[in-house]
Amino acid sequence: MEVKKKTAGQPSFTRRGVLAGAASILGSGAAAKLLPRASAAPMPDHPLMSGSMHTGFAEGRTTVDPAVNGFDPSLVIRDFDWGKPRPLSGGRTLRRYELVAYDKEIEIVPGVKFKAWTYNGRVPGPTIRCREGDELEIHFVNAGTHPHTIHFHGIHRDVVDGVPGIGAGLIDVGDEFTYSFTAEPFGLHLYHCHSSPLAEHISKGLYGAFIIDPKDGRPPADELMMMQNAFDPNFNEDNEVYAVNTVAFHYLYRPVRVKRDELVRIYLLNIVELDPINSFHIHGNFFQRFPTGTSLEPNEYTDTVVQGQGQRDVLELRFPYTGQYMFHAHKTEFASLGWMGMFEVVE
Amino acid sequence: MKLAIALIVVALLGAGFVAMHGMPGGSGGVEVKVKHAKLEPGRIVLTLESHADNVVSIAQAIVNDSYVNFLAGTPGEADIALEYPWIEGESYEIELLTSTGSSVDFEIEDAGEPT
Repeated sequence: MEVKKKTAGQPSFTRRGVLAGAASILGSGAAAKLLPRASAAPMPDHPLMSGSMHTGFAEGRTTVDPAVNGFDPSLVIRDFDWGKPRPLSGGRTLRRYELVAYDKEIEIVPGVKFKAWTYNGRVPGPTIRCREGDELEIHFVNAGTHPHTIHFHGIHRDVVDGVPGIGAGLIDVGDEFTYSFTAEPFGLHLYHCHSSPLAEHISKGLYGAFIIDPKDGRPPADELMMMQNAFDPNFNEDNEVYAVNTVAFHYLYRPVRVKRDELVRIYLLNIVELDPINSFHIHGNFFQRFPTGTSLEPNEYTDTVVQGQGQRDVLELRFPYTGQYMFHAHKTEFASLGWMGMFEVVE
Repeated sequence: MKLAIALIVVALLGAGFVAMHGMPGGSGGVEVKVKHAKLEPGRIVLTLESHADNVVSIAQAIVNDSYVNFLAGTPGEADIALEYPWIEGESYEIELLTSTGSSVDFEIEDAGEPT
């Protein structure tokens, strides 16, 4: 949306909503000139957000076109990869997954590109899902430009731990390796590259959620995976973009729709580099907290949870009322830099 | 209307950083910096100077760790107006993110009084 303002004696401006637009600068050797840029397709404003002082948003292009990135946070949040199953003797199951690391430029906030390192072309990588006791084979191909690994949280032998110098260690560019282990313990875990420098390999996008269900499962629920992540596109050791599932503010303008009174289960993880803690806060509701998801008994009933890097929690809640309910980091800097979303509760 | 002029410290991260990491389409690096800034009620107006070989797109603006709306000047003008309710005497760190993720950074150390 563009609104031109012109006042005699003052420069004229073209309005650019937050996340909306761009000014293009052409070097002239002296003063700069601003050139108009063809604006992206306008996106409808969220009715509650227009002019909101809470967010600072007003108008304009507010989300990244999923076609640009090749993945959509609105789908990633409910996308669970159960692998290719094959029955084993004794009623057990072998699950095989395919992960390929490769470089890919993604858009992390409208108009700003980031040269990411990805598993399967998305950040976060596929959410690997299985049951406790399953035999897992994760076939990894490094099609990137640096040696990578996959390090899984969980209980397993050192040779499949995905760290340099042990077992297969670093997987060189063009090489491949299959990580094989039994899924244990049940809970919410992580996987990520463990190459050095570790912070760089993680902050560029090589991570994903690893969910091991209890043998008897959990109660039926609308399940959501939320990976808290961040990006430092100008490499100044200070993140400029925070999000859940990569794209800043995505769920603010594409709310997560859930049903009133239905059990909602959130698999919440924190992989943010450069900041010691992160947090999740929900408006108008409270949730049960299951730390790391390794117990079926919650240990806290709250509306805010704090996580260090690598920490995980399973959260369960029901929304008793329809309407719009915000969720965001209760580190307000992170919220103002993109870690903010909305639940839309419907009948 | 008298416009207060802020004391600006131009952090040459814009030019320095992009020269180090490269910029869109430019082989010789890009030099973009804030030439000067002025404070108006409810907004901070920046005049940019570029010695870039190619067009550089300012995609987002951050003031004190918060994304803000901004108004882009019409062709031939070099100003960007950031919508921000600045407060006299306070300091502001500003990052203009380009389309490639590099930034033009600068700081207002002591915001002046608008009239």
